[in-house]
Amino acid sequence: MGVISTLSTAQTGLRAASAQIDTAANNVANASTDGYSRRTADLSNSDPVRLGSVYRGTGVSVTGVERAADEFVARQLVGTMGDQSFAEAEYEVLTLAEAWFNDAEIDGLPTMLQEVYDSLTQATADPADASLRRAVASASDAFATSLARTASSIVDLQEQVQDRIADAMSEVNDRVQKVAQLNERVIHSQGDASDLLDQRDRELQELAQLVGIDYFIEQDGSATVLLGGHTLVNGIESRELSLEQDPGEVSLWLEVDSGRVEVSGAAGGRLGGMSKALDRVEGYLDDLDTFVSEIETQFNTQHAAGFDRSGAAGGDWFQTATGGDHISESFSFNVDLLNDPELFAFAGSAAGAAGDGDNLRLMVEMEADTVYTGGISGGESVLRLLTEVGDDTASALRTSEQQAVIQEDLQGMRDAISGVDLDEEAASLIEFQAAYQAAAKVLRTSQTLFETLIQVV
Amino acid sequence: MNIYRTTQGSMSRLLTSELGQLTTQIRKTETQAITGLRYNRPSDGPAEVATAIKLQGVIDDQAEFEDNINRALSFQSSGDDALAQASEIFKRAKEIAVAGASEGYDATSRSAMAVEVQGLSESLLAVANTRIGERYIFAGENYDGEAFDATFTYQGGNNSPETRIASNLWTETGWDGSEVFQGTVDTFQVLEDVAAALDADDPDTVFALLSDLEDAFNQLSAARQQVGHEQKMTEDAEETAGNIHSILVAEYNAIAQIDEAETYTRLNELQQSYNAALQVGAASSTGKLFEYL
Repeated sequence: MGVISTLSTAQTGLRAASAQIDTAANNVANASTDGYSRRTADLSNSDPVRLGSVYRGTGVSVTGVERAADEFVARQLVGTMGDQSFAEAEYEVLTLAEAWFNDAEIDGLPTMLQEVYDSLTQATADPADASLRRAVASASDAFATSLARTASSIVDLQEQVQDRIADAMSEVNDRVQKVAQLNERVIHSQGDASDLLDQRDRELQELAQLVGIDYFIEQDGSATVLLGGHTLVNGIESRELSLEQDPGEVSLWLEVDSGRVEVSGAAGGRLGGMSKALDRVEGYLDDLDTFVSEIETQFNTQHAAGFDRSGAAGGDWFQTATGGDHISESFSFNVDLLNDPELFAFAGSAAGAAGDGDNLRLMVEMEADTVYTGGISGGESVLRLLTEVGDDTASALRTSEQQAVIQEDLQGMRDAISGVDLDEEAASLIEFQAAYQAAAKVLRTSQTLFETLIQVV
Repeated sequence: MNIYRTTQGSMSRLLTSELGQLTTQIRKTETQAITGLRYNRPSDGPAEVATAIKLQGVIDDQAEFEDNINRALSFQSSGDDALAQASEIFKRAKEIAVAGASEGYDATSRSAMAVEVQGLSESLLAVANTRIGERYIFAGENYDGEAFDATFTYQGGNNSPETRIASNLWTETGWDGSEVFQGTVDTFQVLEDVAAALDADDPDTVFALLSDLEDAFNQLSAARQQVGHEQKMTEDAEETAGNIHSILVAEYNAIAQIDEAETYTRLNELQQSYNAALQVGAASSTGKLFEYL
């Protein structure tokens, strides 16, 4: 019995070392696999046998393969990924909006409005001078065209963002279904579910980055996924999200048993970030519309109070079209004035005196008129808008950078627990190789003993 | 936070993150070096950008004011010159009148004096119709036409055109000729009367007109003084605008412009950091224990 049992014991050692080498090989192979959790072969000494009053060991057995994972860190990481994606998506949209407001200069619209006032000031030197009048027309047209282009570009940006939100929405529903399917496989898995759990972790991380979720693991191993307190995935059941879009705004809805509930406010991740940025951008456009309406009223009213060279009352200075979502898009300088600067109503009387700049003087003084929303001047109004866009963008960038640091820390923690360290695996391989070689030596020794015994017989 | 196990994955991620941050900073610093501006978009520093834009607006205003000041000064200088000429005309007219009023001249001499005074009257008309470019400076706001016709009838306007030379400062760049030349005293009429009295060989009337000549001279001198006052005010505004412009430009540069030495040094440091990070990354990804197996 001794020699045979030794052979058997040595075999278990060989099997155990081989399993450990296999596990290490798998770890090394997946060292760069995103979301992979390193494994270790669990070993246990086999049940001993009793020989009279003595218990004798029977070797080692492989009881399983352990997946190195910490559910707390994994959940924290998923939450942070949602926050980081939210901030990053918001920044991406706002920085594009800012670029349009900025229009390749740090000053953009405020400077162009300033140029309108400056051209009016210059015209006071000679209200009848054709070149000075043309300069006024040119500055006014450039300002109006730039503002309208800014508004149109931002509306285009909104449409692009809404398309991206719709794409993200579709991906969210796909991934929600995948999590439910993976839940089913985890629940019904007979052996090692590590690969399924890794896959599900990756799906949860992707979901968090898309829409910002929370989750917890049930007793049966399934993950229950929540969005703002509403269940997205419960066991093998999943719920679908839907999107409602109007120009410049989106709302997110979750199908529930009793109908549907709005979950727009709960959305995080890229979808939430883009939605928030979309709201902000819509706010900018509304502010731009208000500004356009006010400057149109201010200029047109004052211009109408004056008279052109022929003695006719002044026509519109700026114009907008009705019917669109944002009047800023149609903002323009009166083309009649652009084509015929003689139509500028700079005179205070209809007599047609060349040097009558009484109304021009009043138009120049409009620069300081605090008739815009908030009791400020036109220049301050457009500057405030630009500053608001800059503030929001800078704030989104700061948040994104902060979240990136937090995510980096958590990712480091997750790596510390679950990541593959090649040096560690190499050291383990040396250890496992030695164990394997030792077991093989034992086997050969046993074989020698057995052969010696046979020869005696 | 202590991370006890540092994997190749975390080192790679950290390296990528660090390189990404350095690249962003290098790009930003390069943009600053290229544009010469510290802030190239509002989010680079919303408050600073707002201040810079406001300052730039005021600087632009000052530039426009300086242009207007130069234009205004040319009109005012021309107005001053014209009124100086008008005063000289009346000085000469007075000299002639003093001579014509004395008993030492006969009718022929007075007739010759009358011709000269007629000539002075025409010169005064030319002065009153002084033109700078297309503008008649004594035609009020109707400066695109002559101030006076050949019969000394005023055709201009009664308002003086004004030019903006500072935020709350406007200056006259043309004058109501009817007030200057035909205000309390009709300067043309005085010369006509003197010429007529001389031609009529009437020394008593010529003598009586001396006080009118004095009044006309005083009226023109007062007008010249007024133009001079406007000119002085404009010159003061020019000096102020120049000072303000310098101060504002210095302030703007301090906020918006880069310090070139600082920026280039920073760029150099960042590039060195980037290269160092790459070398560290390369070093840390080699020499693994696997190589000794």
